[in-house]
Amino acid sequence: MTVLHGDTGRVSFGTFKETTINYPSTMQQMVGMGLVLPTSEPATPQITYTVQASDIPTFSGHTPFSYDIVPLLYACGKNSTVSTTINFRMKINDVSINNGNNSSQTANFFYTYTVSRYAPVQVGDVVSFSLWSTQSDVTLDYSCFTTAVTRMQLAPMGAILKDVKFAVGVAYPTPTAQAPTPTFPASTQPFLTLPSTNGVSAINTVVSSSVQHTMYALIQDPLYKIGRCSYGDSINSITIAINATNKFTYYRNWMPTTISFREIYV
Amino acid sequence: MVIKLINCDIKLKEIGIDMVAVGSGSKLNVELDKITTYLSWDYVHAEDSLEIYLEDGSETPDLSRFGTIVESGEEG
Repeated sequence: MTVLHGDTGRVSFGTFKETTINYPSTMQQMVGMGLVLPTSEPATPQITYTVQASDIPTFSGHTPFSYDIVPLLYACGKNSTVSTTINFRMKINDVSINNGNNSSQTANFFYTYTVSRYAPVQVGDVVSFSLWSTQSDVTLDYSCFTTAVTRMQLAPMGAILKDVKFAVGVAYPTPTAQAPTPTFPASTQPFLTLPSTNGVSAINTVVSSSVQHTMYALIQDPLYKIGRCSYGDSINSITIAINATNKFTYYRNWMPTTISFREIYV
Repeated sequence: MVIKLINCDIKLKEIGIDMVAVGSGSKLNVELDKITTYLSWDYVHAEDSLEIYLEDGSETPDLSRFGTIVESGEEG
């Protein structure tokens, strides 16, 4: 039902809208790389992905006015027989985004980098990641790549979103090779972080693995819109995880499959 | 403990480190090794910011030659 604002013709209470988000079911991957990390930065990154349309979430039903697509890249291998320093550089379209270093990594452990910088991309962009080490026996065995969606604007700015329902979250991404082991977040962690300007600062977890959240009203933030995904936005980082036995210990998001609401204008 | 610095590009170039250039990370490692024992560091080009992670409770080194310190404290 649509309610008009007096005789102005303006919509005061909009129709029910539902956005369905379809996440990619597969990831680009580089299997069996079998590389030994160099001891100085390589001129050419070992890992390069060109963003494909198949890497990007799609929408059905109500399409957001705008949204950002951010890269999620993973790289894993095995540390040296002695304590190791690993260095990295992330680039997009050959422009440096982030350099960094993790020192004193435990000998003989497996390492995984979760590369989740907020750096919006589109189809055709080239995302690369370089690794090198202080030791000459650190390996790079596997990598995979996908994207995440964040900062969705579901209605014109200024509208109030009423009765907003976020579906129970799904784990995303879900790599399959290398016996992947998700390490974070647990089901109680925030998955879609809302800025305080949304007027609901007491609620920063609106998508979880087990609960469907309903919000009475939601105002879109000028910058973050309805909110931010964790890895790739609010957790804006390149994070290393190490494990004695798991080859691929990765960080992921819980994301909604549907968001429904009505628009209100006052 | 994490120490965040900004306006690093000019300072780093003064000591011969251009973070865009290949090999710059290793050069920064050498310079940091001279003054502290760190866990990791992270340079974000768009922000021109450098975060240096140290063991909690460790003495804060003089990092002024790498940029302007804007935050220093224990990790939450």
